[in-house]
Amino acid sequence: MSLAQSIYRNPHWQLVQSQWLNLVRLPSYSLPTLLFPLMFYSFFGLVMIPGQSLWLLCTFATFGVLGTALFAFGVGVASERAQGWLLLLRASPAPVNAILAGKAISAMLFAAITIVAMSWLAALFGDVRLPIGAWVSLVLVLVAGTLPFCLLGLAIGLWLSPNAAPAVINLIYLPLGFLSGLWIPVPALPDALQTLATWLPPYHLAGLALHVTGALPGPWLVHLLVLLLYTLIFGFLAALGWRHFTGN
Amino acid sequence: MKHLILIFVLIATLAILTLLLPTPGASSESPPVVSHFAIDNVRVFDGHQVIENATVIVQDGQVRSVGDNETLSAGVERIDGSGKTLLPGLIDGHAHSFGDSRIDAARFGVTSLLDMFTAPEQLLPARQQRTSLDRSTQADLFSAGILATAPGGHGTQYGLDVPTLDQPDETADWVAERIAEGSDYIKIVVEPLGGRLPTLNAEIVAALVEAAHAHGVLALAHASTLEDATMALNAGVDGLVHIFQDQPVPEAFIAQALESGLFVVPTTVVLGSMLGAVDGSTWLEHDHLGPRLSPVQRQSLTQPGWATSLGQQRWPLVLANIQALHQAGVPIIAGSDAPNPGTGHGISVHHELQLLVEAGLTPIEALMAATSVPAQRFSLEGRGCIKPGCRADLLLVSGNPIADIEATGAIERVWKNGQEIELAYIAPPTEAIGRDEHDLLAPDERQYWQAASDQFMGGKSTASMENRESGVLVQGQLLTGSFSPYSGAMWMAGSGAMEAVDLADRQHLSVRIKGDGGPFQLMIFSGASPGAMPVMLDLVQDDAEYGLDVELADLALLEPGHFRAFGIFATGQPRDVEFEIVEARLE
Repeated sequence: MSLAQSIYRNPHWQLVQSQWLNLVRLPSYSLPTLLFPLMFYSFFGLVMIPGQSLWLLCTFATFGVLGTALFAFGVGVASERAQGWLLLLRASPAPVNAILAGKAISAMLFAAITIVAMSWLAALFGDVRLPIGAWVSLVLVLVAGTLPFCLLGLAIGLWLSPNAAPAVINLIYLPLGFLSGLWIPVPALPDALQTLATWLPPYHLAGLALHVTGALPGPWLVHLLVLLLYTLIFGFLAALGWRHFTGN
Repeated sequence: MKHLILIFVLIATLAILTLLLPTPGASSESPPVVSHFAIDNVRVFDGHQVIENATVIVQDGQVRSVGDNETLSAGVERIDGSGKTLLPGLIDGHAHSFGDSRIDAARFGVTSLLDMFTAPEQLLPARQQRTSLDRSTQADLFSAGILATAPGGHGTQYGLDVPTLDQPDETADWVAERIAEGSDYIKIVVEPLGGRLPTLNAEIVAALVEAAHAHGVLALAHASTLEDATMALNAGVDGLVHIFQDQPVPEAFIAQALESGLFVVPTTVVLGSMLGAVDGSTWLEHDHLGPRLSPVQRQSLTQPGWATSLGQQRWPLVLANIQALHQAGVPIIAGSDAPNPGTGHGISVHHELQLLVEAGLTPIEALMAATSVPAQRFSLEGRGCIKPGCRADLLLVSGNPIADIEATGAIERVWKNGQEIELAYIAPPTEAIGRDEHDLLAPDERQYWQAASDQFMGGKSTASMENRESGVLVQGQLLTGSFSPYSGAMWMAGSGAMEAVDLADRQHLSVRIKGDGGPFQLMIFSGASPGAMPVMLDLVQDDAEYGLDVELADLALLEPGHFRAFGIFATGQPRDVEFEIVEARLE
């Protein structure tokens, strides 16, 4: 048996792959989460506000990451929970952690597609030029930054009903993006909103992206620590949610 | 299995696409940059030392090699540098960027500006621009943005919205705001002006320094006395952006400066000009450089300083303190403080180099003060150097500035990002004035008048205007609150506010007003930059009338090709203002 085959037969990988297929075969997920950030970036970052392509690449790519993570987990988990699919999986010998890992890896892949596509838009139409290290860092930072938002989505998906989850996610997704300065740069927001932004996790992920691309070198350690803190909080909420779900 | 393979293929594709993203200098979309040339047989100052008879090869915006002659493919331009010296594009360690400052600086071989206070809106675009190696005709900008000062303190008088500091616990947020606006470092003002101005106390200065360092940026201080400079040094600042000149620098200060690694940007040229010891206006007569000065440069160079007797005493201390610090090993950085009185962007860096040599630096040390020293202290990678990989910001001068520092002014060619830039000042073209009425109080011209006061500049004076058959009546109040209060009315030459037009054949302006309690001034606004200072002339009293007839050609600083507006204003002491403009003719 070749290595590839043995990987393939591994139940963990099977589940990772099934979660990927799950998302790919759901155009109502894959198209909006991929296309919306690219469309927004084209409108705002390239056409309407010229000269700020790099800055807005960082923030709109963060926005894309936010969407892929929240929708993959929040909506997906809530509906699978409602269909009893999660319960069934739990009863089966299937490793649950592989299901979650599968979803996370899929969300990261989708995030990576968004980020790379948006980077190419920025390079071709926004004249953005970065050293190769900065391009790679941008992609890696944002792909890794998917994690806290995956956990946030997971917590929402576990706590809320399948009808409420999409609504709540939409309610979080758009305002969180705006208030974190992902659409309009934070320095251009009113003072009160600027203060609010520093409390929101996407602001810090965008801060890291701005830092590694050199658009705005900043306190990267602070951004990183805040994101880690949020990852712990969201992880804790998701763990509580898991208990809530399994206790049902 | 198919999907597993697809996932890996997808990951590999994304990785490859990421690695193929365009990098600076290797643009795939915009047409290839034609910047490939060699300068042969040239004396090179590489930021640290001199290399005689070298060949410098520039390619794609960067210096590719410095060394012996090399065979290059046909078609690569070869420039003969015999008898000439190639310098790194100079760095102005203290400037204020407004309007066309960065273009003016670059035309004089100053390709990076370390701004010490300006409007923050330009910072983020400038940040993106300076990372590029694309063609540019401007000096790159690094900036403190808004300065740190006390409410009502130095820096609040220029009409910019300056958030001030009152308490040490405000400093962390204040610094974070500057960083978010794009400030590269923090400038802190310690300027009590002999007790006449509110200023930051030691506690706030120390907190600011700490906050700046927490963000990993430099903290710099404006101080003009030993006492204030010592306070800043104790607070831990990285640099002083002026040299103090109230007393000789004591040994203890030097020892502490050396220990803390302090650098000093003495701004000799602006201090000399303020103290009346240095005359920037002589540059207007310079054979080579005078004709290249823009109207804005000429304007600021000819603005007078104080020229007090105190100044004459203090000027030797300026030079002596620079020498003492320099000899002890405190790093000195060349800075002009342009466009303050007696200085002009770009040109005054050359003036500063001469003054630093006068203060006791060798020409090489002076050149280092405008290249490698600021590059190192401000972490300006690839600037202030001529080495492989350095940004191709280059200044070619005839003669040898190592022997005679004045030769830096013998500018022959300047390259920014490896592309040659035009050295002459070129005024942007304007439309000719479209109206042919010479009587500016005629009914058709009345719409071009408007009331104006110093509120525009942050002052408190008021003005209102009423059209009467006999003329334009102005009423208002002149109140203190800005540097130079004014209240009156303006006539606009173009159809847009302050739009520049070419006056073409008009040569003569005459105005007459009825009113009492002068002084009144005629201010004429012209120039390629809307921010250029107006020409100011006092109206002459004749009984109850004040008036003036001026030949426009007699006004050296007026640009009839870019005429924007003129205004008639009550100026001087606070008072109620009422006058009627009864004659205004432009013929």
